[in-house]
Amino acid sequence: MRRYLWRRIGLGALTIVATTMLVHLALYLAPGDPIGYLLNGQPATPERIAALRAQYNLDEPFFTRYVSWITGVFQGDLGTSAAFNADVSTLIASRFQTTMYLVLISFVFISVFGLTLGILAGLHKGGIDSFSMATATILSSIPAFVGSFILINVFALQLGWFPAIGGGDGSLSSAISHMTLPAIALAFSAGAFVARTTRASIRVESASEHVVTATVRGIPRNKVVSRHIVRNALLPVISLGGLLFVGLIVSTAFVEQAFAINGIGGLLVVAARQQDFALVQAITLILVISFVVVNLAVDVLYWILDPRIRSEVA
Amino acid sequence: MKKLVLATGSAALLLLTACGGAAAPESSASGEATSSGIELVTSTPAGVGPVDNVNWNLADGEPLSLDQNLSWSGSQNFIGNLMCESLLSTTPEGGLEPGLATDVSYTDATTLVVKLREGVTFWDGSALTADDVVYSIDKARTNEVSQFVGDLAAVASVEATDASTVTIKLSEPNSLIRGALSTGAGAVVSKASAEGNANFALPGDTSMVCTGPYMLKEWTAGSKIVVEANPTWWNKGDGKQLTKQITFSFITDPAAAVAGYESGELDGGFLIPASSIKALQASTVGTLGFGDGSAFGAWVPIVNTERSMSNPKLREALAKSLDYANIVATETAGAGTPAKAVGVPGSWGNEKAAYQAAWDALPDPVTDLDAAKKLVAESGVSNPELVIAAWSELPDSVNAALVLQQAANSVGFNATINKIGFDRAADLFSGAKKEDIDIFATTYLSFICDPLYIYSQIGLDAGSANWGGYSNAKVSELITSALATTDDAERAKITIEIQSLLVADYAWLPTTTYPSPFFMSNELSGAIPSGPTHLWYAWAVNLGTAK
Amino acid sequence: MSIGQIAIGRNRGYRKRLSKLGLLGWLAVFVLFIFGVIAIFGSALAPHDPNKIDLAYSYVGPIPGHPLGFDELGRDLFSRLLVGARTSLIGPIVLVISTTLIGTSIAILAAWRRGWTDAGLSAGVDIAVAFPGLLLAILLSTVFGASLWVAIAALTLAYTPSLARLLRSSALRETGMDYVKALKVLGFSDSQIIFKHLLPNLAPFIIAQAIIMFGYATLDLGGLSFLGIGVQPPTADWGTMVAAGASGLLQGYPTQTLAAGSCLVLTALSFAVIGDRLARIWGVE
Repeated sequence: MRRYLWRRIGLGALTIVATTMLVHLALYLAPGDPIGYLLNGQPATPERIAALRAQYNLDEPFFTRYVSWITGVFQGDLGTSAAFNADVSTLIASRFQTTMYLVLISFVFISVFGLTLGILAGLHKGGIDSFSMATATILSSIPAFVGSFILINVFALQLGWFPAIGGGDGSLSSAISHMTLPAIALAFSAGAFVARTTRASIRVESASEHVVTATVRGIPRNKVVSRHIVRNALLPVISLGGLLFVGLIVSTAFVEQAFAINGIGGLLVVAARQQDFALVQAITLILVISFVVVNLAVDVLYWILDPRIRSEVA
Repeated sequence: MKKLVLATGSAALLLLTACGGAAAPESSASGEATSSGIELVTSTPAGVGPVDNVNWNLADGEPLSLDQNLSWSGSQNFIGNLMCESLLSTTPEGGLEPGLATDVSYTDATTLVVKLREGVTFWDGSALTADDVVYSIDKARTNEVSQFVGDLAAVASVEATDASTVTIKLSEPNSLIRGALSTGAGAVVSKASAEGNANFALPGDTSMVCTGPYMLKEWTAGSKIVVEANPTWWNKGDGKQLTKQITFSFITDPAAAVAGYESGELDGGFLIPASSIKALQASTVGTLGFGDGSAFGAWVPIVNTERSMSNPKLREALAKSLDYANIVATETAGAGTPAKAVGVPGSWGNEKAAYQAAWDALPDPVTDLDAAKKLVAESGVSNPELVIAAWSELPDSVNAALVLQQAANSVGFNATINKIGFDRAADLFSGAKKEDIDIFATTYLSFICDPLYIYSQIGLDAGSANWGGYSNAKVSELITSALATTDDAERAKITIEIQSLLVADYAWLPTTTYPSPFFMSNELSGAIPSGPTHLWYAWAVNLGTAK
Repeated sequence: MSIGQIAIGRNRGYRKRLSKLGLLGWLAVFVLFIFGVIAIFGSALAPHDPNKIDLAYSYVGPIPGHPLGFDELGRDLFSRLLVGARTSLIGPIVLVISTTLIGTSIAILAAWRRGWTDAGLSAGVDIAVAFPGLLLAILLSTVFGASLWVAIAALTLAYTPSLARLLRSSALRETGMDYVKALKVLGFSDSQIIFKHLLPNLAPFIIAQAIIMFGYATLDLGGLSFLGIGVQPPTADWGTMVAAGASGLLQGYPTQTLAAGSCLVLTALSFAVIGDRLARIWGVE
């Protein structure tokens, strides 16, 4: 197990280095002079331009720039955002927590939607199956940026059940009340995806040898379902969760705009539109790290839950 | 007064203020009824009861700095003016009154003496001294990224004569320096908090120390700024600082902001985008009002090239092709009026009767497509090219360009739109020659209540807003003489002459006055939505409950 | 970003007739047919110039001759909706075609060559499949500026790996079958076997995937336009119309957002229904 884990960690580190280098290279090769964006509308005196060129190592070759960036990262210095005139780490720190709340609350909804519909559809045939899958199909066709406006209009403005805007004051309770609507809007399409996967996975498990054997041996249906079918069927769903995670962080951009939440997704879009390289690089780094960490966690979870893998790697 | 500021979101590039309308009466309404019957106000009735916290939105995004001496954006000024006071302040009617200085006067054409108010302390308890004033003014005029470098260009030196007196020497006569000291150029920060402080007033930093009614309590970069009432403010009085704390948010998305106002999560806000106005006018939880102001919308033609806009006939043709009534209706929700010149009534501070008479005598901006077509034909250029710049990031800017494009094409231009990024801002808002752009839109305003201020910026060859490269020897000569004239009436006479020359030359093509829309919950009252008060004076000092 | 497609089965029995689409399926086909007609003839069908500005009609509601009323610049919404169909559907068409071509090529190349080619391609695909499409689109727009084509390129990059991965396992199974060996022994060239036999056998699976993908593509491209990194205004497009109308939605002018949003949702829903039904009929779920 230990060797297996180390290999995964090594692979993760490699992914981080490769991705950030790729992003860095892309920005390095970007057409146009970044100095215009760095000035961001401020008067362009030669001194200021020279200072900015030095600050961003604009005259250095690619590799030097990358190395100095990564060295900075290890020292906690992610650079300065031109669009916000602020430390990138300060900008990101306050938003990261908000986004994590949003993504985690959204995960709760995705699991509830997705697993309920998927398990129902997988275990039953006919009406329940059709109904669950139809629900999933409809949900998957409502993009978050359309769903948000409907939810705000109905549940925040008409009914007044939830706040219409903002991310709360940082406490868990206010996060839950502020982020329920955006989390639901975000959960539609991912939830439908989880539902389909769960259904397919349950069907496969239901037909598997050990389930048939168990049924033949006369083990009660509900025990077969809970011990043999659902438990095993959830394994692929867990790895799907890992896959969904980073996509979900980026997708928060849609709901953050609609709900005026200050999070990572919206920040990334603003940074991209203003060609704020330092910020784009830093957020990409965070996303890639999240990706690696989550997938590592999924691997470990797999290892704990699935005896087959345990024996394989042992 | 350059407003190069580009909002991070889709919200407007506006920054609004007024010097009080034409014949502003004592009441809060300036009495200028617009075509749509909207009443412009310069203030709202003072609040009566205390409030623990008010949530206020500034739709042009988070400030890049709170240093009033640099003044980069509307949101910066609206927060900064609660904290850092200026030497003089402008009344809603456009006059100057004492601020941190009890007196600022010209002792001769090139010397100003500033007498500081006794007994004023900064939040940290230290006393306000002449050193702090010298430091602040020098910062405003020498920092390369300050918006006041142009306004203070005539200042040769600033020196502390004694602990409470500062002497400002000018390199040439300039009658606008007193006015400038009522803006961010005269805002005073504690030298001890600023000097050598690399993070001073930058996002997240709370080390700034000033004298004003509110103190910087918290700045969470990327989300909010909180200010709280200063218990030791020198100008305390009954009914002042009723609001104990103000939490600023920076929601730029119009839909999200409307949802916030409607649900009560936002108590009010400035810089309401035009697209949200109709919804908020219908609101039952608050009131949408319009502050009077010196702001206006205009097209800035690039005249120093060989291209179409160097031809005055074509500039005039374009001016006659504009649909003024509908521009007023869509861009200002009907609150504005077509602008005859850029020195709009909201920019008048003194000699209002003279300016009013001159204004009345100016031709009304009217749409006359036939005349425009004829002018294009007479210009000798067939199907003249017109490249309209639009900020690709700002939908409103693209929309405005589309409107102009259609108007220009209908009278014989060959108009195209060139979408540019914010990286072009430094180039656009400078006198640099621009060969790929013929015209661009701006929403601009006077920081000082004297039309000479705006005319000197666009009329002098080196004027700080002369972005189109306009040059007219006669105009330059008149401006120089007006700047040397400290007598108000005499100066107004010359300024009016300048105005008529600039209008006849179509140096800029003004479209509409731009009253500043604001929203305030029905629970609250007392916000000052207009006047330089709105920019340079603590606009929330009378904010409190309505009942 | 929606993430790709789901599991695969065998591709036998796909010749069953399409009449099994069912009422809902045919309804979806009908909806798409209508949208298709609009996309092709939209500019001719539009009663007014979609870009004609008349500020006097800013945010005016429906009046005779203008069934949906006007947008903020007084442009006819109905005409913009009709003309917007083309931009909103051409994007996904290009995206689906490019993804299908590239994805199929990778899958068949991997399955046909096997060995190192397969290992290399699969490893690349495994890494790329996890990279969120939206992040890719944002990064590319930072570098190249925002446009529909950049968005399409980014989503092609994002969609291709998952399609390639799905197709590869089907292709592997297919290439391992006896008929392929037999054809090889008979001396047929690789390209003959691939184009005459392998691809036709994989076709139902590819088509079903492409149709399901079309739904996602519509929503994802619409989403990028909404964020301002896809189609740029003033081009009429459903995604940008949702965004442009968003401020009106809460202000009593919901038509623009609702109409454009409904078109997007209907398109996506129709493709999802048809894709599902076809996959079931052909047994390639």
